[in-house]
Amino acid sequence: MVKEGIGVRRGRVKPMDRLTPADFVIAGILLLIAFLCLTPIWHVAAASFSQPAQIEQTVGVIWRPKSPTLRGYELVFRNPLLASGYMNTIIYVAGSTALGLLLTLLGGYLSSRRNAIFAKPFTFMVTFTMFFSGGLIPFYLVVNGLGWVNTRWALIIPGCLSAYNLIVMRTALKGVPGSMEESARIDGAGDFTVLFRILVPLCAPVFAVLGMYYAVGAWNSWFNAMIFLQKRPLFPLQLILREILVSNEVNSMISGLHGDTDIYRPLVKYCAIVVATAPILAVYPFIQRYFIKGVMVGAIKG
Amino acid sequence: MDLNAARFKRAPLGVRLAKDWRLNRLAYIMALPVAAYFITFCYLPMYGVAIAFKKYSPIKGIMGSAWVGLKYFREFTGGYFFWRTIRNTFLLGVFDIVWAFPAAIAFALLVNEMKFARLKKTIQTITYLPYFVSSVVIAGVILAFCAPNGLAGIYFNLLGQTPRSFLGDARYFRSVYVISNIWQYMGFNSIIYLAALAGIDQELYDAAVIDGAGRWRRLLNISLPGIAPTIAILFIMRLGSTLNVGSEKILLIYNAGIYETSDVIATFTYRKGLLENNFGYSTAVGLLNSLVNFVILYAANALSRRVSEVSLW
Amino acid sequence: MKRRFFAIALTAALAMAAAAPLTAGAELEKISDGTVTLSVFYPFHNDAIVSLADNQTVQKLEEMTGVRIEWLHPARGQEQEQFNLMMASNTLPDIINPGGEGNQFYPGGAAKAVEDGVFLRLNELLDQYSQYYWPMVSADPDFRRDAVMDDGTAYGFAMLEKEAQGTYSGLGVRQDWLDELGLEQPTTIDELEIVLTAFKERKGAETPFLLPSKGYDEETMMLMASFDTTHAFYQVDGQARWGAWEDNFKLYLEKMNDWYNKGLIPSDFSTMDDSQRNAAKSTGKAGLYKIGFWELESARKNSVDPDNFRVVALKTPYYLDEGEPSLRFTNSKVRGFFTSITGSCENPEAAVKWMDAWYSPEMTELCNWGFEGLTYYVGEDGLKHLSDLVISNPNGYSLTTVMGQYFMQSGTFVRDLSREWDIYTDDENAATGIWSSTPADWFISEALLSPTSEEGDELATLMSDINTLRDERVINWIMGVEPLDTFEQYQETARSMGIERAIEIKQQVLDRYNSR
Repeated sequence: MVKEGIGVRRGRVKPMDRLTPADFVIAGILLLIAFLCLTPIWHVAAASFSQPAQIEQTVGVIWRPKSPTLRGYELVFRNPLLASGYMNTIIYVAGSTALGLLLTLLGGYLSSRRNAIFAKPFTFMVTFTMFFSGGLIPFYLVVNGLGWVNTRWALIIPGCLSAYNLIVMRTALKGVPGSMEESARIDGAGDFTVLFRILVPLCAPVFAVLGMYYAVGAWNSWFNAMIFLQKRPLFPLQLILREILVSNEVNSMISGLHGDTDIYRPLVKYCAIVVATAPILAVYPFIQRYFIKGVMVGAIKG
Repeated sequence: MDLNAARFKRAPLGVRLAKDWRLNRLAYIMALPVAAYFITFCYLPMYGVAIAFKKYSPIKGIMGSAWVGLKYFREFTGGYFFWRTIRNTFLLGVFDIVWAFPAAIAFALLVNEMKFARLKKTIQTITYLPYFVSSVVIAGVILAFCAPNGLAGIYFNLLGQTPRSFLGDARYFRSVYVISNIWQYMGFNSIIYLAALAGIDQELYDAAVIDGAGRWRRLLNISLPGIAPTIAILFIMRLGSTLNVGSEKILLIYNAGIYETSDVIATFTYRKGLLENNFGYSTAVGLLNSLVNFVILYAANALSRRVSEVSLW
Repeated sequence: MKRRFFAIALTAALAMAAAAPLTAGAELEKISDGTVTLSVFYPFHNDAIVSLADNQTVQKLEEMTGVRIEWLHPARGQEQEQFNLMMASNTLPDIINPGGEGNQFYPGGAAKAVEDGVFLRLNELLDQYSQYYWPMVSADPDFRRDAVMDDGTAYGFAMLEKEAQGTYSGLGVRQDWLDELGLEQPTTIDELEIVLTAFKERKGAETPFLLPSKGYDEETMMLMASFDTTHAFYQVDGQARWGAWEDNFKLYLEKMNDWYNKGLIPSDFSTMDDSQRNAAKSTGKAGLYKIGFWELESARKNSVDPDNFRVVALKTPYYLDEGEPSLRFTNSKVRGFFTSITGSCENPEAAVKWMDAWYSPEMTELCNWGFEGLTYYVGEDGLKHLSDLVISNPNGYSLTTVMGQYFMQSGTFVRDLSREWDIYTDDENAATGIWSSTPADWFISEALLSPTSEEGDELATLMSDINTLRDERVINWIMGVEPLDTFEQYQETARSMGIERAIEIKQQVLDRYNSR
């Protein structure tokens, strides 16, 4: 597998690397797709700096902020819980992503063992949970029984592991040629070594993707926080933003007072998205480098 | 290793288990916390499905509430619009699989073929953006595009008809749903394929080039087979969620005038839930939904095991 | 100045009681010496403070009563879920305010909650310990009817209003256009059509009437009421009826279909979202639409021509030349918000006394106005007015936020909405009166009915299908996708789906309410 000749790539220009008209066609198509995908987020970002009345009068996409204002962000940022919300989210994301990845790897390993008798029943048991659940109430009772309600544990442990991701992990692990593992075993490697020294580096791209799936999921999640927390200082960012949004939409019956006279309120909808999404966008390029060809080979060599 | 497996099958159970334990002891021990997780948070609470068969009273709890048997199932399946909502749910799910599932793969392959490295990174980052925009805003954008003065207007003008909304006509709903789904999820869903493509040994390409294989041949003979196991597994799992359509989005963009194609199980149940908050009914509908999904998954998996090596269990 | 004068006229009656300043020594009777703690589940969300414990009025209450409160604030919009979970895990707090209509909060309604022991039956406790709330409820026939259930059981402390708020939203019309065109406010549907046509032809309003996306308006029932019918249940002389399958409903649909064909209604009314509607209002594409009284001024400010723009409330027109509609939504002095004491409360006496304290004159004063010199001042007119701290907060906080910081915006106490009159313009303050000027005899206030859980179950099962049928047909009829000849066939379908049974159930529920 790891043969000589990898260095060749650096030496001379291979026929593959020459540009052809097809390359420009591909680039053109991708640019068009990217443009279509950028439109809504551009619209959101531009709207978040615009006068609400002007947003309403615009039909279609807003390309440039109209009568620029920062009032929307002021409304979001002066929330007394925003700072603690960011902190909490970071704790929850870090904790549940780390734990989730570890468990996914461990479970995926057993599930991918070709010769383990219980690998298949185990996989079945995992898949089954994707379809049938007992619903919210018994789930709550279990967490309550563990004494985790109104604690951070409730947001880190339950929900940290996804059956779907475990299956993806298993597929990646299965994709590693058996010969690699066998040669390592002959050299006297145990399961630990095989898993962490050989399989993990080989599956680095998938590992990175799953890490990102977990992190994005944890970053965006608010439901568990909503049911398990009544202590506001523990609220994650998304729940706080959601409250700001919901309080915007509460109908007159419930609020009892008629409408918020603050005409900048509608901006909050857009600012909240920007505030919640920007950090993820900042992190993505760091993950992205794992998706570039050749990482696998490099990992083995290194 | 395959030889070993063959030998296992001939040995008596006890011997096989002993050998299995000797070989895979550590794998089993490492998987223990995972099993504990699923048992605690998924299997232990499963008694909750009993609500589907009960008249749930919060104070009596799930076990203490009175049984009503299949009342809620009958209520659901006997409803006037039952078949229509089933049809709509199923068709939206199927169309989504037919169009949106391959779109992510095609997109990943395109990105993989892209040569301009910096542009490629930027495009990758941009295309997964729509995934992060909340459905409320996404729905706003969809409505604006479908309005008579948006894309829809241009389309109808080209046909020489009076401009109207795409969402005012039941015939267009499924297209709007599927196309907007592709737009929202294609970039994000392609990430996993890109990772799989990154895992393909670069030497295979180099060797193919030396053999004189063109780009198209390399795509068909190396890239696609390289990610085939990933595609197969994700496809089986996607089939297992055929009936899970994006009801949050549908609720935001549909209207009563186009119920004929847009009213799905989840939206119908939602409207019923507004009238009364009935745990039993919604659990029963959810259970039925899962059951159908699971049967589809089971069948797909069994089929895949027959025709190829790939299967979930 | 004019605004203030208007307020004086209206507050005259209330002013007597309310204007008496809090005497220096006025203190409530101590309930405890600081040893009693109660846990209270109370929906609350504020931009400036994190918990009601930081609210000035609540702090004052704690000081006066000596009762310590542990506030539980569920995440907004999630009150129901949290309540269900608390019940399932047997961890109910002492006191619960569901934040919505208490009646629908517990599966099977409030009656079932009392029967199951989740909420305490308060009548005896109130007789014994209530100094303020119970005497007040007993003395007022409206309170007496709506603050308890069909059988007279009190399951909670109701939010009471000094004056019922009436019909706070309805049709709004561009008065500046009417003036310019020399037209009177229309009182019949025919006149309205003339006005809409003039708006379209002479004011360039492309789609003068913004028909709501369902083809009708659920809340105000505007224009359906013009045809003596509505989309849902209503009552005529105590008889329950379902409007959407009556012949008059066809008249409504025919008129809307006619207007649709004449281009008086947007061709895409069924898909327009709020921002598209707002754009149509502010750019003058439309001149008649549903609006709430508190929105009249902001509609002007947001319009492209704020100097001339003027939208005012329009009294619901009638389909005949003589007579007026008998149906509109309205509010009673009890809105259906309750705070209950739970079966888990170990000290019901303290809980009842503490809740009762909210209705004392001292707390009524504090809850509505806050602190003199800080949140309100007494003007030269001798009346109280909210201060600039509240109305135009120096930190830029909204009215709602500042109220939540210092006093109470809503909740279970005696609310005096006259405090807000200063905030609104003359047109806004006049609007509720205009919309409320037709009779509301036919209205059923669903929030105050108490269906049993069996009734609720059966109604929901029947109505979810029937409502789907109705909503789908209404849009297609108005748009002309389906000819109105099929209305008779639709009536038959509704019958086969059990609409008569549904009306029968509604009748039982209504009879119980009407005989309170």
